[in-house]
Amino acid sequence: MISLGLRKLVCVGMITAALHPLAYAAPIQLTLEGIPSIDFGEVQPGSRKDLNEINGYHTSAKIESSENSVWSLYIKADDLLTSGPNTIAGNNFRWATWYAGFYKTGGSGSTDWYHRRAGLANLGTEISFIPLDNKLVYTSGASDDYPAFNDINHNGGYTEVQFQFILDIPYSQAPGDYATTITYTVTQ
Amino acid sequence: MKKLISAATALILMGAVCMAAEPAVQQATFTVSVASVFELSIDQGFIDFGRMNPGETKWNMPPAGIMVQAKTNGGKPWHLKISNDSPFSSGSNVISNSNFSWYGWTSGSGKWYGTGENTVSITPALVYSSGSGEDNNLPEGTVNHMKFRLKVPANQAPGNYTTVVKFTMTE
Repeated sequence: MISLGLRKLVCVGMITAALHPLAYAAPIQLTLEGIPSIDFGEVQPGSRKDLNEINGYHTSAKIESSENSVWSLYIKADDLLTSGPNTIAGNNFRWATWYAGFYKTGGSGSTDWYHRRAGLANLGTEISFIPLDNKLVYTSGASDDYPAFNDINHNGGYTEVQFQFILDIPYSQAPGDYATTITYTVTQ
Repeated sequence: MKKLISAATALILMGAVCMAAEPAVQQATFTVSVASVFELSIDQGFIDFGRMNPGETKWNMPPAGIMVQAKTNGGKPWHLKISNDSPFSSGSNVISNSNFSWYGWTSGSGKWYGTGENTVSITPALVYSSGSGEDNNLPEGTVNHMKFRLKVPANQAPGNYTTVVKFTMTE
């Protein structure tokens, strides 16, 4: 009896463990496309630089969800743009989103691409990077044009959120090479 | 049997916890190079004293003065100096630098070295040293105004004399 019970236990345990890798891999994936590395280049004091060279954006976040659970995209800067002891004040470094859409098959029949600007938390507004402040960028939901169709679970498709970046260099800014790390996070 | 069910439940729960909240994360490095500015400019590059008679002295040249504008964001004190590569000359004839002097005024907050009788020399001489806040003076910069006086000695040979005056900005 004991021997039979142990065998069942081992059997259940193995099945559960085998499910783990599948569960980790699939629920939601995030990749950066367009121009993921962001180099503003050399900027003169007192000038502004916009990075939006790919049809109005610079980087796109591509999200693939296979879960029936609403997900959200966040962005944050780990620190101010920094060069040794010098920093560029946070309100000079900003991001903006003007467009989001998703690809999903089996919908309206006329297209597999759907606009979803309604998911953008700050459509068309320049938002300052405040260090460690995780700002909501986008939340999955119904298409702008076909409300019955959503990007909560793509079923093989994906959502694209397009970012542009803006940098103002004050006249008083000390010269130097400044850098920081930007983190994109998707949670369900 | 109870132990068996309990163990199996625990394993399944563990699986559920692992599946729930694994955020997807990507990072990108942002870089920018803020340009270094250390610039000196003048608003006119040709000063003509015109026709002068031997023994004559001309002041107030040019009448509006030369605007010498210095811009920096280097964060360090800086100095403006003046010199010429050689005195006024026409072929082998020379008007000594002792007859050529500069004067003027500053709109900056630093130290102005013009005493009113500063002769131009081949060795660069101090005109101005930056003051408080002028180690980063963008965008307007610091403007100094220069004028020149030339005396043609009474025994000077006739001719068209020229010299090149040089302004130098150093940290």
